[in-house]
Amino acid sequence: MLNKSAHWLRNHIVLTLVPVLGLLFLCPTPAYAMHITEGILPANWAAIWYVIAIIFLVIGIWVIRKRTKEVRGLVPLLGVAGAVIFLISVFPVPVPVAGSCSHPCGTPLGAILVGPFISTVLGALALLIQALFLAHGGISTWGANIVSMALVGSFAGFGAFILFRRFNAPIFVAAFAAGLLGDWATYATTSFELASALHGTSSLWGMFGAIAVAFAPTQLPLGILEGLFTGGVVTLVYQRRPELLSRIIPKAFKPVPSTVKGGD
Amino acid sequence: MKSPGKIITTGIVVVFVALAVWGWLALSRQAPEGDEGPWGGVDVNVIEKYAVDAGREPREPFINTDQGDLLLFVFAFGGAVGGFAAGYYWRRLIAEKTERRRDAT
Repeated sequence: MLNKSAHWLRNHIVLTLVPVLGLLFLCPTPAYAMHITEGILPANWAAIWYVIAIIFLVIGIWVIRKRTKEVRGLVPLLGVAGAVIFLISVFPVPVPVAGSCSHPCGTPLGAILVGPFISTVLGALALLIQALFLAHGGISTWGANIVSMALVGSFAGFGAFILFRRFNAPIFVAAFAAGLLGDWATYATTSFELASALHGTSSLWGMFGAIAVAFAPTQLPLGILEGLFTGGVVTLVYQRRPELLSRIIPKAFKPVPSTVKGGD
Repeated sequence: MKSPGKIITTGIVVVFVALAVWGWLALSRQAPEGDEGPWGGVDVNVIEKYAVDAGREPREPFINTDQGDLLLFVFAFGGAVGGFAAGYYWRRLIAEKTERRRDAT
């Protein structure tokens, strides 16, 4: 009886609460992120980003329900991906020379591990918890932050990974490109979201360029960091549990000619 | 690395990295400095700066945990719990399976 209770606790409470609490409380300060702060976007623009985000969230939740039935062992992968996305998206990294701080996104890695739709949902959950309890982002800007970090970060990273693998790129190189391009795409989207809402009578693309250039000194090197991290983790998972990744994105893991014994 | 695909894709990534390093160094002088001063976050130095210039002041969050040492507590506690969560699932995903495989063989 005691064993049964312990088993139930382990499988149902700990497995659910630990990542949720982990996501809930891991936040350094409210000032090191791409998150658009509460109240910055006008209501009409906030609503537009909400609509786009909700469409992808609905699809993502449907994919999660379908995949968890089909793929055994997906829950630990979701736990790792969710925790990593949250950890990374609130981890401030000081950038030398530029003298400022920002953070990587984690969603490109999440997209490679669990697919872009599921990664979008995980990113959205992380952003919601940050907005609610950690003074990080905002409820009114949640939709815009989902679109930039969770959605675009996931899909840009996933797309880059698939594309590079199609051209026989080594796993590390493809994952590096995913992290790099996913990170930059996230900040380009944030620039567009801000410019589209705030440009007023001035040029949309002029303001977009100005914001993107302001992000560049911090985010260009952080893209490299995100690429290295993504490449390292994906390579490690591939070496230890290749079947996990091949189940999620089989086309990207077709055997490729390699001179290295044991694969890439 | 005999495959042309590998050489080309690796070359593309190297070009990206070179451009990123060049852009980082070239644009660093133009990095805006916000109210937080050096090492401020880009959401204050960039996002809030452009928003305020456009007449959109940020609002206080609904639940403001940025008070006194509360945020420091949240960060420390969250670091411990988040690290545990990531490690726990990583072990379930990687280490336990590897051990099972080793035992089976």
